[in-house]
Amino acid sequence: MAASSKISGIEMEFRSRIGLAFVLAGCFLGGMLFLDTFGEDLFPAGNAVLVSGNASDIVLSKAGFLYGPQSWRPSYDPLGIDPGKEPDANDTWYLMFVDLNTTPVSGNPNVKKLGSVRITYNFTDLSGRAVFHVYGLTTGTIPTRTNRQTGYGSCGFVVTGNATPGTSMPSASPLAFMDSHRYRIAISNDLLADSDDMNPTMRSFYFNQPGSGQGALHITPSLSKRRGSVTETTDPNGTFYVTATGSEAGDDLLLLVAADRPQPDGFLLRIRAEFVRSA
Amino acid sequence: MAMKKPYFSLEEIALLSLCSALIVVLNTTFSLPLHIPGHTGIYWVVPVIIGVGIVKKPGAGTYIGLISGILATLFGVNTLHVFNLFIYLALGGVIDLLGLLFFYRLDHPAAGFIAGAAGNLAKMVVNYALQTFLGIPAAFIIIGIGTASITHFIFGGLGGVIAAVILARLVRAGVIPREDA
Repeated sequence: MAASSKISGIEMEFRSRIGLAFVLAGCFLGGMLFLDTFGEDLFPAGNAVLVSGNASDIVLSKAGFLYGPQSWRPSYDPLGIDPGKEPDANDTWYLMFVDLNTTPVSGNPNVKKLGSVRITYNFTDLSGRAVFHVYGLTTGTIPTRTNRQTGYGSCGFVVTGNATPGTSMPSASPLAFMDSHRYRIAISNDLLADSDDMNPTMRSFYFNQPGSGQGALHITPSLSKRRGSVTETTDPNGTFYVTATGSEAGDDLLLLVAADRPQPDGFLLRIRAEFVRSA
Repeated sequence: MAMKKPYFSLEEIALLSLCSALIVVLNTTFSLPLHIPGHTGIYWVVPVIIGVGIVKKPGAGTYIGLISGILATLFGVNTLHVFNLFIYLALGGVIDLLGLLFFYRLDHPAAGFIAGAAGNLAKMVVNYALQTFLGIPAAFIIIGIGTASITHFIFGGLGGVIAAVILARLVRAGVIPREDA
């Protein structure tokens, strides 16, 4: 009888401890969700500090638009170009890819000191909407990184200009969708050959499954919102940041600039990309 | 002069060491293409809980964590190198503590779930603490920490349930004496 009541007491104690453990785990998870929601306000990122030696200054004309007209941008499945939207067959975007020769990750690659890439743009004679997206080039079997197109965490940067549209984009031809989910992309600025391709004008994209690489990079108008957001502006001169939150941001960044109509002959786009670290 | 009896018997040391090696082997050879934070917890925690559930002595989980941490460091399992030791120790230590609190009834699915989930969460917390210590700004760490915590909790818990089921089967099969279970 005494032994039975002792077992029952241990059983009761065991059950109460299990219950208490679940309550504590719930409190912990609640705390983490609170930190996730309000953490950016609790831990302000501070100001951006330029790190010298990691900058590009590129000027591009309408001849830089090498791809299009098309309604999609590369991923495992075609992604839309208008931020937050799926591809629309009626859209006629013209695309150019610009190698920024920098990355949001710097310092010791094993420790991965994260920063951001600050991009300053200056449009001359922009007609219609121009959209910025970003790709992180990788090596080996790691899929190419990009910003999220739709749903939670989608981001992008849109600039609208009021110049008279051009009549044609003579350099552009549509990019073919690849069933292999591997793309060879021509960049619009000449740089040194990258470590993977050893080719000054071509870069490789690789996607291994639906959604792969999406959300590892973010486009944000302010470092206080590192998760990124969709920004629309009519200012032809401005700044935004490319941030990374995943474990692998890629070893080089390609900026995708897409215009929704043919651009006038006077179209110019100056892009300055700088690696910055938060102070 | 009577020889002092060792804290762990030879069999226990052998079993705990095998569990430690199993963690590293699972980590290096077993890959789930889920791309969800903490999903590896579903197999990380299983050998620790089984080891603690069989040996039933304080320190068993910590021993597994220490040995597997040393092995992971030597084999270069991830980029944290020698700091791996802290991650594995946290995982083993927390499961050790919960085993003690739950009277080593880790064959109970609820106890297994909590032990696995807490072990996997401890691994995550120590990992983030080390990343912060190594210079990654806290602002980066906290992005998505809520989602990561929930996925660590779920996958660690599922691993714990798997371990509990295996332990219960071992008890039923008589491999672990029933009176100790």
